[in-house]
Amino acid sequence: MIEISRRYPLPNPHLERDLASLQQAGIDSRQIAVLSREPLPVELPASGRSRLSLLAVTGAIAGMAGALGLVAWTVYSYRLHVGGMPFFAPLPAGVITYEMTLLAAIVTTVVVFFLEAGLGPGRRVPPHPELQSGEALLSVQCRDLEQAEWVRRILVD
Amino acid sequence: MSTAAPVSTRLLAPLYGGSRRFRLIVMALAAIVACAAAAFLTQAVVGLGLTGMRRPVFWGFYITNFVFWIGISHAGTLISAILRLTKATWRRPITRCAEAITVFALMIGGLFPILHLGRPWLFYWLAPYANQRVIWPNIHSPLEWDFFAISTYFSGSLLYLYLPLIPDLALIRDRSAGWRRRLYGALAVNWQGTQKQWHRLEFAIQLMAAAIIGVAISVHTIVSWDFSMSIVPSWHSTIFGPYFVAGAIFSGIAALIIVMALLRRLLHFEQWLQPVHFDNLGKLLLTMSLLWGYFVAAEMITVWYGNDPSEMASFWARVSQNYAPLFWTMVACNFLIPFPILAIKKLRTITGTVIASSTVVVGMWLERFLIVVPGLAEQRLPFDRWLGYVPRWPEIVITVGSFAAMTLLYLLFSRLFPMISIWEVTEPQPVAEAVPVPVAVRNEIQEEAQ
Repeated sequence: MIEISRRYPLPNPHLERDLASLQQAGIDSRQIAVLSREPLPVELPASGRSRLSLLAVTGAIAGMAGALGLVAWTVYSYRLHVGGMPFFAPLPAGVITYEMTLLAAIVTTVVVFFLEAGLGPGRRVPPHPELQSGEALLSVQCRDLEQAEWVRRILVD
Repeated sequence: MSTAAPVSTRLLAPLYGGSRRFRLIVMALAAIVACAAAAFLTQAVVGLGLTGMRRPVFWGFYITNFVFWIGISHAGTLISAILRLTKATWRRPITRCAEAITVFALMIGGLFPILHLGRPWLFYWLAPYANQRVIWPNIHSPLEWDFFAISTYFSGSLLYLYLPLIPDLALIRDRSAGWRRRLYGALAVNWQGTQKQWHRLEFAIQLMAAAIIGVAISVHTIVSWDFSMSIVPSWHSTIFGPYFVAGAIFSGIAALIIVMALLRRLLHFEQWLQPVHFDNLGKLLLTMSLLWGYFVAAEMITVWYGNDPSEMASFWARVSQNYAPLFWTMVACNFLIPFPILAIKKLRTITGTVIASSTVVVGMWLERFLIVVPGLAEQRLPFDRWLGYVPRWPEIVITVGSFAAMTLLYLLFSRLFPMISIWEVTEPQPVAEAVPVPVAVRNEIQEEAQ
C-alpha cells in the first residue's frame, strides 16, 4: 500500500471537490480516510450507517430482563418478609430494573461505539501527529503505483 | 502563555506545568485527607460510639455529607447532558469542568454510607453476589436501591466523562513522548479522527446524554426515598423526590460556578470561561433558587396546616427552637442573599455569581443537615427530645477531609487532563450559530432561491 495524503486548511471547498473526484476515478471509499482534530462542518459520505441506537435499545432490553431475573432470584433465594410486601414486589423491583436497564443501555452504547469506530487496543494508528486543529487531512491508501499516480494528480495537481 | 499560541497549546499548558505553589497545595490537601483517613481508621477500631450519633439520632454528619455530595454530583453530568441535548453552544467550555465534578463528588459521596457502617469492611454485602447463603440483599430496602442507583450513575458518569475526552487524549498522545505518550496512547484507544469516528462519537454522546438524564434524576429521587419511605416526622413526604432533585441541581450549579471561577483564575482560562457563562449559569441558579424556595414553602405550609403533633414538633424545632439559627441561616444562604444578587443584572457578574454560589453551597449543606437530624431528634417519645446530636471529632475531621479530597482530586485531574474540551471549543460552528444573519440579507437569499 502507498499512502498519498493532503492537508486542507478549513473551511475549504477543495476537500469536497477532491473527494468527489477520487470517487469518480473509482477509488474505493474504504481506501479513503478524512482525518481531523474536530468534527468537520461538512457532511462526508464516508461515515456509513450506524446501528448504535438499535443496539443500545437491545442492550437496554437485555439489562431489563437481567434485572428482573436478578431480583426474582434474590428474593426467592433468601425470603425476607418486609412490611407485608410480596416477595417479588413490583415497585422495589421496578427501581432496580430501571437502573440496570439504563446502565445496560449506556454500556452497550460505549461498546458499540468502540466497535463501530474501530477503536480499541492493538489497532494500528496512522502516524499523522502533524495534523493541527482547524485543518483536515485526506489520506488515500493506494493499491499500486499506477493508482498512486492517479491519486497524486487529483490531490496535488 | 502568549495569546498568539494555538488554542490547543494554551489549553494543554497546565498539563506541562508544575509550580512549587501547586505542589505545596497538593501536599497540604493530602495531609488533611490523611487526617480524615486516620480518623476513619480510629472510628473503625473503636466503633461508632466514638461519634456523636446516639439513639434516636442515628444518622448525623455522614448521611448529611452523603446527600450533600450526591447533590453536588448533579452539577456535571446532568447539566452537561441537558446543555448537549439542547445544543446550547455556550456549553462547550464548561462541560468537562462539570462532568469531572460529578465523578469526584460521587466517589466521595458514595464513601459516606460505608464510613457510617459499624463494620465498614462488610460493605460489599450490599452487592447481589452469590455467596454461601445464596444471594440475600434486601431488595425491598431503599438503601439497596441506593447501591444500584449510585453504581449506575457513577459508571455512566465516568463513561460520559471519558468519551468526549478521547479526541483530546489523542491530541496529547501525538504531541508527547515517553511515559505521557504511552499513557495517553493507551487511553486514546487508537483514536485517529476519521469522519466515521467523529460521527459515531457525537451520536454516542447524544445517546448517553439522553440516558444519563434519566439516571441522574432517579439517583437523587432514590436518595430522597431513603428518608421519605420511613414513617418519621418531617421525612414521610411525597414531595421529597422532586424537592431533592431540584436541591441537587441547585447545589450542583453553585459548585460548578465556584469551580469555573477557580479554574479561570488559577489556569488562566479567561478567554474561554467568559462573563457570559457565569451570567447564564447565574440565571439558572436564580431559577433553581426560586424553585427551592417554592418547594420549602409548599412543604412547610402543608405541615403547618396539617398540625400533626409529631410533625409540628419537628417543624417548631427547625423554625423557632433548637435548630432555628441553622434554619434561618439556610433560608438566608439559599434565597435571601442569592436572590437579589442573581436577579439584578448589574450584580450578576463573575464575583456576584461566585458570592451567591458560595452561600448556596453552605445553605444546601445546612439544608441536608436539617433534613437528616431534626426529623430523628424530634420523634414521638418525649424523652427522645432530651438527647440532641452534637458531632464529635471524627465526624468533623472526616467532613473537612471530604472537601479536601474533592479539591485534591480535581487539582490532580486538572494536571493530567485538559479541563476544557479542546475539540469542542475549536470545532467550527455552523454559520447560523456563529454569525446571526440579518433579516434583510436572509430575505434577499430567499428571494434569490425562489
